Amino acid sequence: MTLKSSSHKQFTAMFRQSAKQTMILPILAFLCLLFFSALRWDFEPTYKTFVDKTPYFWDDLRMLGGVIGPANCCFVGAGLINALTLFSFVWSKKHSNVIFSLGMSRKDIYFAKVLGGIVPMTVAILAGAAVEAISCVAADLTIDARFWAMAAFVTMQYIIIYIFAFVFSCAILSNTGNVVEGLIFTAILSAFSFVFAEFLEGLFWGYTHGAATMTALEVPHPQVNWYMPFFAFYNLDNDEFMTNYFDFPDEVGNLTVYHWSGIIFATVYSVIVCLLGYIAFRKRRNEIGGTWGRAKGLNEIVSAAVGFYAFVFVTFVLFGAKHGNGNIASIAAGLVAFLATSVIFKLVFGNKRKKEFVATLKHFPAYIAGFAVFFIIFSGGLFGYSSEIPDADEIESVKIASPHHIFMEDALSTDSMLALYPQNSALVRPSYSSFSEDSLGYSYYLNEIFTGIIYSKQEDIARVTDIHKKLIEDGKIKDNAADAVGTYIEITYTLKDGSIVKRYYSEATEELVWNLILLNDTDSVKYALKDYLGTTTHNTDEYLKHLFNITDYEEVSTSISTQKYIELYHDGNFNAMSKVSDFILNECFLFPKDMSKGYNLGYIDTELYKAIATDMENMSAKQYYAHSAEDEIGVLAFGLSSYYILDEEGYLLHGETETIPEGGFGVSSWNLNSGDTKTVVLTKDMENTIKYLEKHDLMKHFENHLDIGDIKHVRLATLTDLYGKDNRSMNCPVFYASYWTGEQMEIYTKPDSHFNMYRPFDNVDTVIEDKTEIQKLLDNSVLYGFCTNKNQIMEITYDDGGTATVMIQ
Amino acid sequence: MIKISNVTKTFDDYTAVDNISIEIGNSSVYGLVGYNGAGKTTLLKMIAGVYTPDSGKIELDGVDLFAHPEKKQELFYVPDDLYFGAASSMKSMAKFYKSYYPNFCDETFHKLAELFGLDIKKKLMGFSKGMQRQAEMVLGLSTLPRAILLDESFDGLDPAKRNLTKKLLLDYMAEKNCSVIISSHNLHELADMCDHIALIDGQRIAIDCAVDDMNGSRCKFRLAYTQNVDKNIFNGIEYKNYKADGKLVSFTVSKNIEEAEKIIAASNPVLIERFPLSLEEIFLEEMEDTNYDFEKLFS
Repeated sequence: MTLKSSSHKQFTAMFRQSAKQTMILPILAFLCLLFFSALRWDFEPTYKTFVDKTPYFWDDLRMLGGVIGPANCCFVGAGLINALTLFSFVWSKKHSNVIFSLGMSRKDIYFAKVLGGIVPMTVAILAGAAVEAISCVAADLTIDARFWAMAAFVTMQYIIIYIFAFVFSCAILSNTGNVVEGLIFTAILSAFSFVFAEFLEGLFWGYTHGAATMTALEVPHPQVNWYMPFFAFYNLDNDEFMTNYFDFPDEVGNLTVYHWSGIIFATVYSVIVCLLGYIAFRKRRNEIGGTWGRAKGLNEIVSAAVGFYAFVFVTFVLFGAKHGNGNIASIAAGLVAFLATSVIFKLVFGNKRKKEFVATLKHFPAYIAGFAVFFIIFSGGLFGYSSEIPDADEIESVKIASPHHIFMEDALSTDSMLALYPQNSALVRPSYSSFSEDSLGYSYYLNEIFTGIIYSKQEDIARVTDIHKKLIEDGKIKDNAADAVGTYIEITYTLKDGSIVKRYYSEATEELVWNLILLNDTDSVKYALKDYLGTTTHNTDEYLKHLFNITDYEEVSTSISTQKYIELYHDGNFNAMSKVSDFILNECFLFPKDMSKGYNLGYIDTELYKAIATDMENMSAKQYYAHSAEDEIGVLAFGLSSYYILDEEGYLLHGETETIPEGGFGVSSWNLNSGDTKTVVLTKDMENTIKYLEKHDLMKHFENHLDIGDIKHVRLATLTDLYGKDNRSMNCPVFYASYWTGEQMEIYTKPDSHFNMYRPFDNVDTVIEDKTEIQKLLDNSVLYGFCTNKNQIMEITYDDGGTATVMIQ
Repeated sequence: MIKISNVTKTFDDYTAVDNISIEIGNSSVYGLVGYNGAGKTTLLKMIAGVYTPDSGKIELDGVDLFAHPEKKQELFYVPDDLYFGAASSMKSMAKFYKSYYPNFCDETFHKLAELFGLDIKKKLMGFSKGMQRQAEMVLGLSTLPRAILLDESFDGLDPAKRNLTKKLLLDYMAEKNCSVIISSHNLHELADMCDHIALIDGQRIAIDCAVDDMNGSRCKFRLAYTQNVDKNIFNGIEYKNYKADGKLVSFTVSKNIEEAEKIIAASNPVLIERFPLSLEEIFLEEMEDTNYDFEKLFS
């Protein structure tokens, strides 16, 4: 036997020994997967009766918390533990004497151990997947190509999450000096991608005008899950692609290369990380084993990473650069934080501290240069990328998602009680944790509040591009500019070649926002509004069709009813039942302009619904956003309450009366997807609605319950006064009124209350008590409308302790 | 044959081995001697491939061990700090080594284990330090290596086992024509076994020669005179460790011994005694310059 051929045997031997060493976790993983498959072996009624016998693949496991849930955390943890098991030898001089003196190259040692850690877990997951697949087949579920695609996808997802966590841990642990160093370095570096995302997002929002991304996760292509497997899988769970995959196949479509891109990128990253780990391992100085702070290269990387984290925190979070306040000072503060943190890290984790300190200072200019490159590129607009507007003849359509579309706005709070203070853009600011694209092509987090309107007519596209050009011309607007307002505008061009150009803006002038509002008069918005009010949105239609095989909308009102709900309960179809409940918890409340007391109309009937829809379609943007105070009558609010509860037998009970209210169960168009409140401010322009209300003698409910005599005092302030000029998230130029009863105020302002709330008017000292003056202000007040920086907000405090906020025109 | 050419190893700023070049022939037992921290273990670990030299080359039978690590299958390293798995026995360790050393011989393993009276099924963690060393030696010899590296491997062995081990090593060397490198502080032991000695001082090789040559080339003179003599009468002799106690004088000579004898004879001593130097004396002689002046240490 030649030495070469025997070295193959050695590789096999080390692989086998490594696999044996890590075998316990794959066995546990298999048993867990087996357990979740076994859960369906006694098939619950859901599976038995569900339409089409929809199969799910490891759904119980996935539903445990999705990609960021326990299952995935366990696979990540297993990756770390197995890496520890296989590479802890490098920390022991004794043990490494044995391993490194074997007649094996470091390459063979590294890859034999890595493979020994990967193969058993992969086999365990595949075996678990096989059992799950057999369970589905045995249950006579619908097994088709879609099923196998999803089965492969979910299986690969778990495998790759484990592999990535494992090779990442191996790469770091194998190049450190001791276990503490290994674990700390692994923990620090594993946070890098998250912080880097913050960094990119901060650069986009803080320094680039016309951010090319909202979350930094969607560069370069919004649909490619390039960033991290974790995000990619979370994204799929988050936008309910996974849960709708079997329920609404026509709606969500098949798994595409974009869905697989998370797995593909994770695989690529795993290979890269593994190779980097090997390169470092090959050059590893074994004498660092059992010592502290002598893994020089890794020490430098980790200290730079820690400094980078400090930089991101100080610049983008502490100094608020991420929220559009980026400036030189925030960068300088970040650099100081970077240097300080790096130095401290090296003092704590370094070997020769004085030397390390000097080295850090020497490297600092290089790091500054690195940061400078990023900032210059991003501040300069990514070489024109951020200000790109496609040529008109290339554009197929353009979508704008912003808070300035007429039918998605909530004039009042989404709370079951009317809210306390101007709830404008604090509600509409998208959160970082949300993601940009769902499987349906909507911009997800904006879509939570704003529906993107697609403009496909040539003249509408021209209007949008004109607005976009003006946005670019205006450039980054200074915080203290008199006409600067905060907003969120997402513009997405779909080009004729199928590609997408997407840009975000977080600030604009008042004039530009007003132009955006005027887009509500375009045919595109009118069409979308009609579609929306017609309850035949894509989502809903498919949803109902799938649930009840309904194709005719007329059937909906009879299908979605309490009776149907009860029938489903007796059929044991809990899944469908829970979905129906989404549809039936809708009521209409009528509020006078003082908002103090509402009248519960119950479920609206089709006639009222049609009247409102017709009026809204007919209204101009000016009528809706800039109606006069005297034209304002009151508010129609939908879905204010979730009063209905189930009794022991599954019957719906009214929370207050414990009886099911009389009247038909129409389907509210305002609240199909959630329990959120949707409101319409009733103005004199809404002739059809008023006609309906008069016909049913309901106009009397719009008479104020409170009058000037009930007002204790008022206070005045602009949004800027209340929230500051630099708080862009709070000065979105659309005002929403609010009201709280005295009782609620009492609860929420008690010192010991855990509901304590921020009350911005507490900082306004000037109190007006003169009734004549107050009356004059009331005469000019509106509940809703376009609110410039000059418009004043009035807080009304009633004698009973209740408060309201309105806008003075 | 192991050939070490210009090998240097630094730990951060500290040079542990500085440009060392030595050759260890086949059928040779090579002793490495030096103070603590001289670089003996570092050198052995580099030969074994545990440490990578910063520069230089290490070859076994003309094959570069770092370019062709598979060649290390013919080399066995017995470190000072032994490692055995938590629950491992000699049997399981034999299984382990058998996977990595293609020449591993079960028959030799069982015979040697029996010779040392070791229970191969017993947990190694339950063995005494000396027994663990014996076990490692048994395992190492069972791999039938072309070269065996022993780092302080006789520590903890009782005299009987020490002799047995020595005999085994010498027999094995003779039988298999292999190279043995032993690092030890026990100079008497090395003198008994080694045919070649290298003394490392200041991270460099101070002496590298055959033991026989060493014995012939160095000696100690003890002289008696009728009266006190001046040191200058020995001009022309390269002596070390000069000591004068009244009419008695002693020193060591490592070069030109015959010439020294002539000069000594010319000084008319009443007594001339010449002794060969022990390895320990050679060691101390070489280290003379680094000796502390203890008188000043506490003054």
